[in-house]
Amino acid sequence: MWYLERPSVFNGEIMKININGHVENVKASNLYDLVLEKELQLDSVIIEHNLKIKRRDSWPTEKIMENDTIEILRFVGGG
Amino acid sequence: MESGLILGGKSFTNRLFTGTGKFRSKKLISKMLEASGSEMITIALRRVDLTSKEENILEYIPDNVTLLPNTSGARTAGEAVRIANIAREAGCGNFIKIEIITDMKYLMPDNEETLNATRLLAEDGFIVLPYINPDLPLAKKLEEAGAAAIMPLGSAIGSNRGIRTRELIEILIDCCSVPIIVDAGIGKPSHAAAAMEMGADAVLVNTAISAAHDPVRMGEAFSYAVKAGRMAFLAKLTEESKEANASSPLTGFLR
Repeated sequence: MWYLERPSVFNGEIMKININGHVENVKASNLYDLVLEKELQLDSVIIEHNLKIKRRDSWPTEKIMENDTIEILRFVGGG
Repeated sequence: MESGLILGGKSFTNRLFTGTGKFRSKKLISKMLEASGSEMITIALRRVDLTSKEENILEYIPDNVTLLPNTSGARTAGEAVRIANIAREAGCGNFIKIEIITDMKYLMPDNEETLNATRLLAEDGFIVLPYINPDLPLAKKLEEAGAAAIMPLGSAIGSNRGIRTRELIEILIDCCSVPIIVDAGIGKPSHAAAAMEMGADAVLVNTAISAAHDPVRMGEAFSYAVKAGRMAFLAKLTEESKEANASSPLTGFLR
């Protein structure tokens, strides 16, 4: 898949962010790399970054900053 | 032939709406949809479990089936609005089932918060289907607020106890101008048929199908029940009476 061939832009720095209600250290500096770092399928998750939904095509340019709040969501079974 | 049920400008020929919760395998969802012919299905939004691999449920729902995201997990109108916006942004369309619950024992919907959320979301262009405890004054306020349909509960979610709120739902059917979709508590096809015979416009069934031993066959059974109930309603049921009314002539006996 095309996104797996994209070179990593991890710059080696580790940031502390809030993901899905937990504080975590991540290497990714943008949303796209964060999805890869978490080994999630790019086409099945939805990302809310500091309470704003971010479109999939903007993920590579959405920079992650220290202390950001990120929700990674998906649709599940429900009635 | 009867024209379909119109919701948000879309016509639904099949009046059985289904849910995606509690299926043993997600593959059964597509098979159930095929067997039942259901054209509308609910989904929920949750945080990804970052520690486990999960499948994408949308892969199992064909394009011709309308998605009805619900706001389950919301405890206030504000939370429901947030979930609705995320679902729309994620490309799930404009339909939203408002489900606002704070009572965790009976999962009773909070009617007041549901009305607040309906106002906000209908104004914002959503096709709003609020899940409520059947109450006529509330239903009229929901209509005014722009609800596309009203979804009264038959009994508690997942309880399979059938249409325990029958009299209250009958009042809604009598007095509301928007479609009435009976949601929650329908445990068997006969319950669904009963709701349709009463004049409900559609029913939403999840647990009774997904938790059945054979969800695919059960989906088909519900589809027949809903069609039969609807047809009986249109054909107009005969009156009940306490005493017998002979079906054979009471004259010309051979005796």
